[in-house]
Amino acid sequence: MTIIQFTPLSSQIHPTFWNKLTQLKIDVLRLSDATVPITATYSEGRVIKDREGGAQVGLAGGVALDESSFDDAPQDVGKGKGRMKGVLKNFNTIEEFKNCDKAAMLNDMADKLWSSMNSDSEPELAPFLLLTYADLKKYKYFYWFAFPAFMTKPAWEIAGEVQPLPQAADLSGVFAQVNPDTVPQFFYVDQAKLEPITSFKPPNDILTIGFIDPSFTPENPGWPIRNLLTYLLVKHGVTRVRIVSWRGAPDSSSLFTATVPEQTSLSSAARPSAAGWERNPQGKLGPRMADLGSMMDPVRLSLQAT
Amino acid sequence: MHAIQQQYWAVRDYLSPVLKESKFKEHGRINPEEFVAAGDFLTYKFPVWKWEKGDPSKVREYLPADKQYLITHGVPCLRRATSLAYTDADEDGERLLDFSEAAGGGDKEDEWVETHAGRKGNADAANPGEIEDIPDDDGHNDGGLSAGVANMSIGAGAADATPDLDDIPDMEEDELEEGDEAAAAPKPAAKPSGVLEASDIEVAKGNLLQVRTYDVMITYDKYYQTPRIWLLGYDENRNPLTPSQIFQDVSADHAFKTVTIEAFPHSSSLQAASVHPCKHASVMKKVIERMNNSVVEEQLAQKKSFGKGEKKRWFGRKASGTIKEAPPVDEDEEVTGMRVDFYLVVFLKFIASIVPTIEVDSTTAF
Repeated sequence: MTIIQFTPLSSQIHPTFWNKLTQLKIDVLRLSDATVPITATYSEGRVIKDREGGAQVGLAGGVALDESSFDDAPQDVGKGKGRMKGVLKNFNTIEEFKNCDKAAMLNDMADKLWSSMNSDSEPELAPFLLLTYADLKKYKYFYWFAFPAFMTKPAWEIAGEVQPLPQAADLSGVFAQVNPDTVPQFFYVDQAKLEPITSFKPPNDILTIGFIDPSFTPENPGWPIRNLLTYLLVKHGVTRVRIVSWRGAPDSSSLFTATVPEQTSLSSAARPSAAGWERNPQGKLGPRMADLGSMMDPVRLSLQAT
Repeated sequence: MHAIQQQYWAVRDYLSPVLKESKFKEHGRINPEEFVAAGDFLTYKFPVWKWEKGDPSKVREYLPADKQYLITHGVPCLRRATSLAYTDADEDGERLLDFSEAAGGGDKEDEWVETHAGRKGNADAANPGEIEDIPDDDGHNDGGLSAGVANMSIGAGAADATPDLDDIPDMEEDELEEGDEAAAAPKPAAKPSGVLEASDIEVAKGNLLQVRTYDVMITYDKYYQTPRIWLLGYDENRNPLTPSQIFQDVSADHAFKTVTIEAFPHSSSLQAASVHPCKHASVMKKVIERMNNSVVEEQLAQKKSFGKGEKKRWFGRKASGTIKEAPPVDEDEEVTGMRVDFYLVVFLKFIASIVPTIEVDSTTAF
């Protein structure tokens, strides 16, 4: 039995996001560093074939933000995408950005997530936190994402092998009839249908759940399933579950069974600790920077035009 | 200067009349209605493309409000076009392409020559001297061959992404994530067999491969009356590409000449790389003429052999029909030639020759 290692999410910010943040900072927020609700989407992981050489190249689905991230949450995020709700906290100075109590901010989000999991309300299973500092004169934006997820101790383990979805005899019929455009972000299989996880009722026989998986490696399911597993464990006592990693089509999706030892019990009183800070390109836990000078600085733009 | 130029273009665009009648076979140009029809077909046939509304203040009233431009996200780009060098050996790689394959290949002159068939990336040590020159540009731009080569050095990804390391606050806090045993390491130890992680490729093949992704947009250019392509790239660390990095993915013949960085017309702020459309109409006219001939031939052939159950070619099908089986051709149906719905599909094939390593042409299945 091996511990399931989940592929962390990685962020991808469209330049228009920074532009909108700049406007917001100048026109609305000014010196306020209150949190702002924002949304994001993540897409499913893909394996593409190199046209020269034919090698398979994996491409993880990133967490995408653009100017529409500041709008109200869209109902329809499009095929093969998951919606994420988060908060943005923009600091006024680089020192504040550096010295803020990051652990406390993550814990604050984790507290909210935990209480929503233990209430009857619908938990936001894919939350995120975005810390930013915008150097408006230099068109440089420093940022750091956190995608909070609860740690389960002892951890979830994989039982048996990861197998391609079409090999599952009892499920292939179900997924052959599913319209790939309408697969919910988190779902469970109710007889021959996919139902959104929000209408979940514990079944009598084996439970099959699934999610739109941003990871492309079958052995490492994507990060968003972690909170769903925690939710099912704490709310419904689910300790053994089959998971469909949905990646656009039955042929590219996979299926595995996750178990957690029976003694792993989560009481609603004690919140497990949370993790999820994004690593920077060097693989360290640290902030990232977007330098948009070459795309926004009028002086540099005019030089390129000559 | 650039700002004035852009103002001029904006005014010119505003003043130029909207093309009304259909000209796509005569001039290679299309009117907005045909752009929408072709876009509808593209999104229907290839759902990776979708219509966008764009910035409400930038709406072009000659297009439907919810169909202002087309976009596809995350188009992979495995190699740099600058690493694709031309050598004498590549001449053997030339391949005659013919859009009218089924029609038995009419005029030999109407065939395409694909010069890079089977060509490999040429970044290996064997023939480093064959890299084609990038045009000197008065030293104004910070791109060019030297920058391209510099960017290919080991660890370039990290260096590119953080041009000013001093600016990044030193705030690594590895203790934040203590005890999370269920997080996959940045590079998972266990890799599925047969699938390469993007970052492994250069190690695996001794060849520099960096997976970039592009957002590709198609707008309608009212002045040139053609579609116009826009590129917005991200490096393998998902940071936006700088213009000089984007030019690495443009074939050397076009970088800095037909591909420039300009304000994206449906956003108040976005700057993106764009292929200038001044030659699109004449190129499209040639392509359409060729295709039209073969399509007409084929339709005539189908009329003759009607009922023999011959397999129909895709370009001869009716766009409005189902994709499963082309509707039977009526005896008295007019021979119409190529329909304008295919315009964007053809257009993408043409764009693919300008940005050879960005896989904008999702239509290769046909």
